[in-house]
Amino acid sequence: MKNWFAGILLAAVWALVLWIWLTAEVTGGHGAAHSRFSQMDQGGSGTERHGPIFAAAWLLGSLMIAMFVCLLAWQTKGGRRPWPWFFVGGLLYEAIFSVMCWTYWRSLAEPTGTSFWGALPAPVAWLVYGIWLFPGFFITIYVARFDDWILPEESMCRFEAIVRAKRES
Amino acid sequence: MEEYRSVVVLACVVAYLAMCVAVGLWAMRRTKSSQDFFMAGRHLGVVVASVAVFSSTMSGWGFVGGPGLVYKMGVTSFWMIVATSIGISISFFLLGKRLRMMGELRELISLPDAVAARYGSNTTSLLTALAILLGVLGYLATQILAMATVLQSILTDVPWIGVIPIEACLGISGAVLVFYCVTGGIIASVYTDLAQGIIMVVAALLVLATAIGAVQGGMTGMAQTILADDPEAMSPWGTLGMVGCLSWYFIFVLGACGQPHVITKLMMTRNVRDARHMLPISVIGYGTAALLWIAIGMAMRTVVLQGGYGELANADDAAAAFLQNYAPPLLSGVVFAGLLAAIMSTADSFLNIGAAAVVHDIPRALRGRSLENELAWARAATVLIAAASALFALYSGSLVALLGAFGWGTFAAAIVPTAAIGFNWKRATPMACNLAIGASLLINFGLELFQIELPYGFHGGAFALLVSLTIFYLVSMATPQRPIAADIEAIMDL
Repeated sequence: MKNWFAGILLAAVWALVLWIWLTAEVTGGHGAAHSRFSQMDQGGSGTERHGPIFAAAWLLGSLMIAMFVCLLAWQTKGGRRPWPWFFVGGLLYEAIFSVMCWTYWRSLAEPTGTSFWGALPAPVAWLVYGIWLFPGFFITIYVARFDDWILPEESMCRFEAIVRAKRES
Repeated sequence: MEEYRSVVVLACVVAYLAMCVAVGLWAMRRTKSSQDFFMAGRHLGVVVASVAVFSSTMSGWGFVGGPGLVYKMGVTSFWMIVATSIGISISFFLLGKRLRMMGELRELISLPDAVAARYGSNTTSLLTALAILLGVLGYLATQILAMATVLQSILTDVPWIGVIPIEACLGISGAVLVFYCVTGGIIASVYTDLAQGIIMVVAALLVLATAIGAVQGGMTGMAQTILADDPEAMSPWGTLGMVGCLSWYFIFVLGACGQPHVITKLMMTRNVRDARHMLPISVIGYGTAALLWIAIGMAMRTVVLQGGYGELANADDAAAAFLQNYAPPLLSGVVFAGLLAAIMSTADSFLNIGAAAVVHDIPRALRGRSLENELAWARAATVLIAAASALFALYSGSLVALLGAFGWGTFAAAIVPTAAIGFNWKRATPMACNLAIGASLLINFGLELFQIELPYGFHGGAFALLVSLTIFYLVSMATPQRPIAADIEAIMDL
């Protein structure tokens, strides 16, 4: 990862965090005590608490995912050959996150009428079956291309030579 | 069998504790040097190391606090679980190969050792060791207290035993923990982790099935009930909201690369290539164990909302209430053993890295060499740290909760820049590490001590991590690059 690129990513995260923090938060915007059960919280109106910051929060989440995928790709070997895989993986990951946000936003009009997939409301299904499970794509890359992009044979030989030289000295 | 519930639970827990003692005795014969005590002689197989990684990540908090958090905040808590699949992956992509190679090349036995090798700075190594020690004391104290509390509740339920003081329960559970940690060091720790991890996975799958059967309509019924009561609780953001959840995502994804008791295990494998198979096993193991967290939390919130169970006095009672009322006695016993397993698998790792900090890292940073007879000192330090943590847990009042709460965030903010980034980025400088570690300690402690709440429920640890990453980046860019030892630089190129 180029030094300037890391700096831009960090600056962008700060800009979005500050944008959100400087936007006035509604009372109980991050949860309030439940009206009947003291040990439970409730969220209140999604439209009211998320409306003013929805775009910034979506951008923040997207940027975090971009950062995570860059970290995954950062130390891979094999020149530029792994990049298309991480690019496509990153795009799919971003798409899943965006669809989750979009289905949530649409569900706000009629929250209890949302469709169910795999025993969960659609937006939560995207979180559980999408955001949680999608990194399986990158894990598959790690396992399947370990000998090419993570630890090629020549790196292993070089490592063994370094260890030998160190012990002999 | 229902009338013997408490005895069945006790029998399962006693069997589990006996297994820990047996493993300690077995491992004692294999622990002959400090390399064995702290690094398992770098002889761990793929399965043992993988299970040790995920069972150390899943602490007792996951089995008690996790369901409590779902009960309290709905889907919000899912983000802590969701984050681990990508978080553990990033740990392996950035550190799996690198740490293992550095460990073998320099015969390292701790993370501060690796920091010293990478940066050539005793100050950076010392600060890393101090950050670890501070986090260990707090985290370990909460784990030891949790262990004693669980044991007390199990013993109190057995009619012929009655009420046992918390000090006695702490003595019993602490003695077992210290016994296997002292006799077998990290070897005993990782092999008990193996059993503990298997218990956790089995318990989680059985609990999921029981929870689905306990509520009419299964998982759909639970989701519909929670949704009807408060749609936001059953939205992807839960009650905390979008920004709070994203801050959790940030700290729990990146923080996974900064947990010293977990990433140290990446140095213990037999072969560098073992990382290839460890990653999927660790992620699948953690994900499966976490099903318990989701299942119990959702089931208890549902039955309370439906009126099938009275309101809980404390959200953290969710797991115990579920097991007492909905799980068959044998499953209850397995899960209680799993709960102790989750606590002890984290506590034993903390004891080991704490002992390494005291007898190895700090003396090396201050005197330039280790103590004579390091193995004996390591065993003594393990006992002393456990005793100090136990006293701290019993008599320091709210300070335990303060340090315990600040554990994950502190480790993340202090160690992610120094290790996960710095071990892969030659531009990183010792000065940048020192300032980043200092800032992370200051911010995490300050936010907890003064109870400062950030806007939109933004996680304090996430803020500390963002600040420490920024300081680390800016100072590294602003200060001259320091030469790196030739062998370490060669490893960083691989």
